[in-house]
Formats: sequence, C-alpha cells, structure tokens
Amino acid sequence: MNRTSPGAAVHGFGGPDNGRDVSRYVRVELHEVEPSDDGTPRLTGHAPASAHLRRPDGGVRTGALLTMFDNVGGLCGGLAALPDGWVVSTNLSARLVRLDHVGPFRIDARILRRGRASTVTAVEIRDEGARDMLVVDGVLTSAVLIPENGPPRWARPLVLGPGEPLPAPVPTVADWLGAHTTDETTVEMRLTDTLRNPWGILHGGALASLIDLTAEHVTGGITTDVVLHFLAPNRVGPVRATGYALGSRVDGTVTRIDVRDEGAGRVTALAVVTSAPADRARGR
Amino acid sequence: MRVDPAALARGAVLAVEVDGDEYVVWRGQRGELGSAPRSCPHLDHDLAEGFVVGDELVCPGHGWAFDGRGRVHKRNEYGRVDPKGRVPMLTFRQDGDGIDVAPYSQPLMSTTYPPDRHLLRDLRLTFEHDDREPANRTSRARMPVVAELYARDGTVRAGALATLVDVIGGGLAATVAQPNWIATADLTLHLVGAARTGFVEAHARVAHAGRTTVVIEVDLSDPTGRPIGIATMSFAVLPRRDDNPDISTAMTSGPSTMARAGSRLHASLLDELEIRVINDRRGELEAPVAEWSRNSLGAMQGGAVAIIVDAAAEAASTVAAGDNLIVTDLQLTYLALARVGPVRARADVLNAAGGAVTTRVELVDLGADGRLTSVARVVATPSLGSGG
Repeated sequence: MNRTSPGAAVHGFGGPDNGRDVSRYVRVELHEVEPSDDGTPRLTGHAPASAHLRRPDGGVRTGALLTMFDNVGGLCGGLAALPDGWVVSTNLSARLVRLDHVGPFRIDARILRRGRASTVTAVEIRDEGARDMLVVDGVLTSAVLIPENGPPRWARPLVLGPGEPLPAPVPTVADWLGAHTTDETTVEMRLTDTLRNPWGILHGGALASLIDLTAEHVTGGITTDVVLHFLAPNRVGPVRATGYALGSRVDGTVTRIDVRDEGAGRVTALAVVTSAPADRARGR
Repeated sequence: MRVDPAALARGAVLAVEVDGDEYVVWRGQRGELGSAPRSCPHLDHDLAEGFVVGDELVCPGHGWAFDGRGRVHKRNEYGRVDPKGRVPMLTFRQDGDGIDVAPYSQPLMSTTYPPDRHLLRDLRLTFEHDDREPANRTSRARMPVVAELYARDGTVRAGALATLVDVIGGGLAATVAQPNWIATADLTLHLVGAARTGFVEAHARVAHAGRTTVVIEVDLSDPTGRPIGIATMSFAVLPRRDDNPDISTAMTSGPSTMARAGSRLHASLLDELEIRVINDRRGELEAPVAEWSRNSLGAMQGGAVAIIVDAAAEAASTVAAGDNLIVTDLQLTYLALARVGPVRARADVLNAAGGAVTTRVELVDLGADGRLTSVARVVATPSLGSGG
C-alpha cells in the first residue's frame, strides 16, 4: 500500500489482483480469521524466511519484514474500510525486537480503530520456528479513499495465496528494487510495474525496503525502528531516498530519510530510522 | 417539549416545534437521534420529507446530508464529501416513557483556556511563528529546562519533550488546516542527546499539508544548537466545530507565550499529573483527567498522555534491565480521547538487548468502560550524552 490524495473519489484502483507481485516476492499467503469482538476484521498471514530476503549475517532484512507487515496490515485496514471505500497507508511505525530469525513468520493484523476517514491496524510478526517469539511490533495507519470504480469486491472470508514461485535465481532485495547507491547518502530505485500497488503507485512495502537499504547504506547498521510517513504517491520514478545520521547512542544510530519521486519532482515520504550496530546481529 | 419514543422508530423522521422554532428529529439506523432545522438551508425544502440513510438525514431536494449533530455536507456522484457548514440542533434526554427535547446551547468555549494553572502555562513555553503562507510556515518554541522536568538521570524526560512537540506541532498543524480543525493521530520522538540546562529549542515545519492529513516534523536542539532529537506528528483534518478554539490570534507572527507571571511547575511532572504507581514491573500507573492537563476539548492533553507513556515504560524497563533507564524513543498512536479518567497505563516488555529495552504501552480510560485510548512502542536506554 502507499499513499495517494485522500479524502475524495480517486482514479486508478486496478483491482484486487494488481500489486500481487510484491506479496509474491516475499511469499506472503494470508487468510481472514474470526472477526474481533467489535466485528472488525482480523487477518493472519504466513511467509517463509527465504534465503533471498536474508542479510549476510543470516537475519531477514527489516525491509522485507516491513513489506510483509504492510501487505497484511494494509489488507486488514482495507477490509475494515469496506463497503465505504478502500485504503492507502499514511503511516507505518514499527519496532524490530529480534534480529535473528528461523521462520516461517506469522503476521497477525487486527483493527485498533476504524473511523470514517482512517483506519489504525496493529500488526505483529512472530517467528513460528523460534517458539513464536515476537519479531516486529507496530501500527499501520491508513486513509480511507473511495475508488472511482468502487471498492474492490472480495470473496469473504478473504484467502490469498502466495502466487507462483519466482523463477530462480530469485533477486536480492536490492536487485528486486533495482536499487543502486548514487553517493554516500542516497539510494535510488526505478519504479517498475511489478512494484506498484493496486492504486498504480509504488507499493508501501517496497518503499519500506528502500528506506531499510538507505539506512543501512548511511549507517552500516541493521534497521530496528522505523517511522515512515507516506506523504504523496510515487507514480513516475526514479524514486530517490536520501538519509543523514542525526546522532548515535548505545543502541544505535538515528537517521532521517527523505524520499523523492524524481520524475514528479516532489517529496513523497519522510522516515526516521534507528539502526543497531551490525555486530549486534552476531553478538546477541 | 416531550416526544413519544414510539414516533421515532429507526429510520423515522418527526417534525417538532421547540420554543417557536421548527425542527426535524430522526432516529438513525443505529438508533442514534439526530436533529436539524425543518427547512433545508440550501433551498428551503421540507426536511420532514427527507429520508434517513445510516445516521444521516438526506434532503429530498438536492441531497444535502445532515449528520444530526449540526454538520451539513453534500456527497458528489463520486462520493466526495463537500462540507456545507453548520445548522442549529437539539439536545435529547430519554427516560422511561419519553424523550425531552430542548434547543442545544453550544458549551461556552472558555475564553480563558488554558486556565491560570495549566500544563501549557506552567512549562513557560515561548513561541515564535513566521508569517509565510501556511504550507511553508514554520514555528519555533523554547522550553526552559528546570529540575521538575528531569527523568531519573537529571536530563529532561522524553515525555516533557513530547509535550513541547505536541504543543508546537499541534499549533502549526491547526494553522495549516484552517478553517478546519485537527485531531492528533500520532506522535513519534527519537532522541540522540540530552537536555540538562538552559532551554530546549523546537523548530517545527510542515512536511505535508493535504485535505485530510497534515504531517509536521520537529527538530529539537540544545542552546548550542546541537541536536537532541527529531519528532514527527500526523493529524487528521476535521470539519470545524463551534467549540474548537480560534487560534488565529494565538498563531500570529512574532514572539508569544501562554505563561502568566506566576506560572511554574510546583512539583515534578509526574507529581503534577498526580500519577500513581500501581505496579513498577508491569509499568502500571494511573492518573486522573484533571483540569491541569486537559486540552481544549476537555480530554487529556496529548503531551500529558506522552508523559504517562514515558513514565510507564521507564518503570517497566528499569525493572527489566535491573538498572535505571530513560526513555529515548516513542511511537505513540492516539486512538480516542481520554475524557473521563482515571487513565490507566500498562507496559509490556517486548525485548531487552543491546543496552535497550523495548516496551509496548497501552492506555485505557477506566471511566469510559476501559476504552483503549492510546498505544505506544517505547525504547529506553541508559543515559544519553549531551547533544547528538
């Protein structure tokens, strides 16, 4: 999910199957479970800790985890917005609490608040291969929009498979994004159709991965804490993320990251990331 | 005037006369009562012939919709909602066999808000706003460092800094959103340096100003200009209500303050908020929703919420680490206003590694059936150095 101009009927919702390439890359499958006591939807997803998503130290990249987070959390928020509309993410705030992973992961999403204009979804990722230990805890906030051609129609309860496996060799996250560094502070990616969400704009999970790569490029550390504000849609590309380290403390370095859609000539996202020293992944 | 409830089944519309004025009363599909003047303000169509959709009454003339609480809007064919202003309304009091109906008098917005003794005055904040166009506007604020703001290590606690952020960020967002009003959706704070003496300076700028959301970024620095931290806030843009404060004079350019001559903290922030520790290990605390910390809507001020979150996380993290820790990061999501109180916080330790403890803190309003009002993820670490 990613953001477009909220609060009005909008064009371009391409249907529920558009944007599935992103969940296919991280191999997320999900299904709707019993609603919460207040009747709001709950979703559970599963994804393997695939080799192509791992860092050299063996842990799964935080950006890949946040792609799973955005995927399941965004769909849960969207289901809560039905029948009035569908959603785009406006804020993703998450904390990584475990750096080493076994997998598979379970991603649980539930609604904390469903208002007329926005939804707030709590998302947890747990490592089923490591005694169900918590890996990521966070919240996804989304704006409710009204697609011009109406909200998507899903068969309920919703079940979505991971899609066909990608042909080997499956690209690394950087190669998947087509990301490359342009200087010591900047990472740039192209905006291919396989990275777009159903609104036709850069998928929020892909953007979270770009943020993760940029923080790693600037600090050399592992992303443990992300606040990502989706300010405007990335429609054209290339998409460029530029970070600067604000300061360091015992648990890592805090970096501020700006994202621009260079083709559209505007700032599209603002992120604040904390990165743990890379040796923490080896020395826990 | 008294109305028979049998005349107001769900979806029913009833014309009434109250103190010589004509109104319509209806019951929405969820059972809520609504009211509006009988004549549509658009072209005087008779709303007694209107139809109920959800909780709204829709005019039979041109589809203007009345939300029952004084707000009017029109949905276009694509579903876009265009506000059409406000209309008078009624109040209802239902007992066993009838409904008392009376004209609604807007609660007088206190012209003295905040009251003489209030968090916003006693922090002695000073502000300076520039007069650029709203989307490019910036604000600066200074908070004097006093011992009452300290955490256990003698540095200004994260909750106090979050309050500074909330005040300056909220003020700037309200300016940008005018003539509409705002509701705070989230506040995040990441610290890289400590504030011990002098003052903390906050510099706020508009990161995004849209029709439905405003995002503000705030840089915090010490008197030498070294960074202390960075904060962000998101706000939902809402239709203005009559009881929203007029901030046009408070946000004029040039220096200003809400402090009065005798304004100061008389005790630590936690004591001023009357925070009572119930269980350190679980980070269980309680605090009343008191005049000193209410916002203009009568609910607990967002900064006060952050202070309680800070205190709960600090308590649980310190027990988990076996050492004094201070809060350095907050990711705080506001879900509902805490209007009644007392507010109860609870912190669950998620992880303790690498010198940091992560907790998840939840706040509920015990006086409102334990309603969940805020959730936060909080990081606590040993003491920070000065500046970033």
